[in-house]
Amino acid sequence: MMPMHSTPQRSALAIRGMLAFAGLAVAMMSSGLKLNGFTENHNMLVSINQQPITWQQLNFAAQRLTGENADKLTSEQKNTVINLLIDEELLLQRAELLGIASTDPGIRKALARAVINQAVANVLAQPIRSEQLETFYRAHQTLFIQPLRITLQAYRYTSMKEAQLALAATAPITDRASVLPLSPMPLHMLRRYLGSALTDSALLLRAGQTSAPIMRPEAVYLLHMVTVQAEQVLPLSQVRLQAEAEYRRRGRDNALQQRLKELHEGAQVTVASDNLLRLDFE
Amino acid sequence: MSSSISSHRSALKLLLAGASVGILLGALSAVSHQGNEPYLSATAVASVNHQQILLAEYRRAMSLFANDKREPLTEDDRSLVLQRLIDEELLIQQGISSGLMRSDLAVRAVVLESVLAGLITEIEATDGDSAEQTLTDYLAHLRATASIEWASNWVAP
Repeated sequence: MMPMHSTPQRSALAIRGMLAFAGLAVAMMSSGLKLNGFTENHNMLVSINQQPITWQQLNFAAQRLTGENADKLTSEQKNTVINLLIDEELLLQRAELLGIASTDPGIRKALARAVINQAVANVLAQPIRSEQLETFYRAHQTLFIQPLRITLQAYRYTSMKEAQLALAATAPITDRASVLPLSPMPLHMLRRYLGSALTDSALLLRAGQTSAPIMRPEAVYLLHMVTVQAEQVLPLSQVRLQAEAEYRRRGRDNALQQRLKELHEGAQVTVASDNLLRLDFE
Repeated sequence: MSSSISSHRSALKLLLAGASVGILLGALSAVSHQGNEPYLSATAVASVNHQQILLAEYRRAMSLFANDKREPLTEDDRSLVLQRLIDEELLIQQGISSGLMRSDLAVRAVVLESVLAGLITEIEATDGDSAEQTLTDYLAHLRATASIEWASNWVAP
């Protein structure tokens, strides 16, 4: 005969039962125990040491190997593919057992790249709306500035007198070629060609103006400024592709930083400061 | 009547014992997860979820970084290199735990290549049999020692 309980007794029993259940649940969760039965894949074809091979995997492998879905294959073909998947699974388990994944540099690189690709996939797949791009362009106009560009001609002479004669002549210089190409150049390029001293002298010239002879250790120069294109913000229509690429790049970086932040938060990271300090003194 | 009371008491005691054991295990487990500082050997610069980043790895990364930089390395550079190594380790651990070894085709291919390359090297070093035959035998051995269960709706080959 079952014992009869009064209401307070029943409540106490229920509380104790719940307490026991909660205790066990906490223990199970903390131990990281996974109940395979609850998460079992109903598409499973075969399990290899509790690791399932599913219909989807068979289909995927069939497509990869034959270009057809698994249901288009004969039983023999299906068995060949599934046997291949079993062999692969056994080798993957062998790799896990040996800890190859965490030590082989090639696998480490592939794993890191795959996680990064996963983290940024959403950002890269999303189309960029015009308003988003315009807002981004307005907020980051400095990225789309075309710097000052100068078209300059520099003529080289062996003596001051020769340079002075060329300057005195009213006709343009035709007896020698300029040491610079006749195309607009940003300042850093100009400095690379001429060096700082000559570039600084060139910056004092207006368009159409020719400098006085400039004596340098290696030669005497005449500089003739052809055009000066001031620094300007390029319109969005002209830099749309560049703006889209930059927008995606930043979105990708943000998504990756966010993922890394989440991983850091869930990880236990310890830095061996003593070992690092010792390294500094070596 | 008395036997029913005594069995009721026993049941209560069992419940209480279960609850206490559960709570104790949970608490112990939680405490051990939080308070257990990983052991860091003298050859490690950091540990990420108990996986150590070795001094040699750090040195190699520093040297690569230094090759790309003209000026001498700064304290910030050193921190950056260490941070990148930690990030990389986190990404790799995440890749392994999320099953990318199986689900990502590129990773899967690299892992299989690596295991096969290792096996072939082993085979070539130990005997003169053809690599293909030895590999087939090895796979047969793996199958024989594995637990392979076919789903009921699948006609096993």
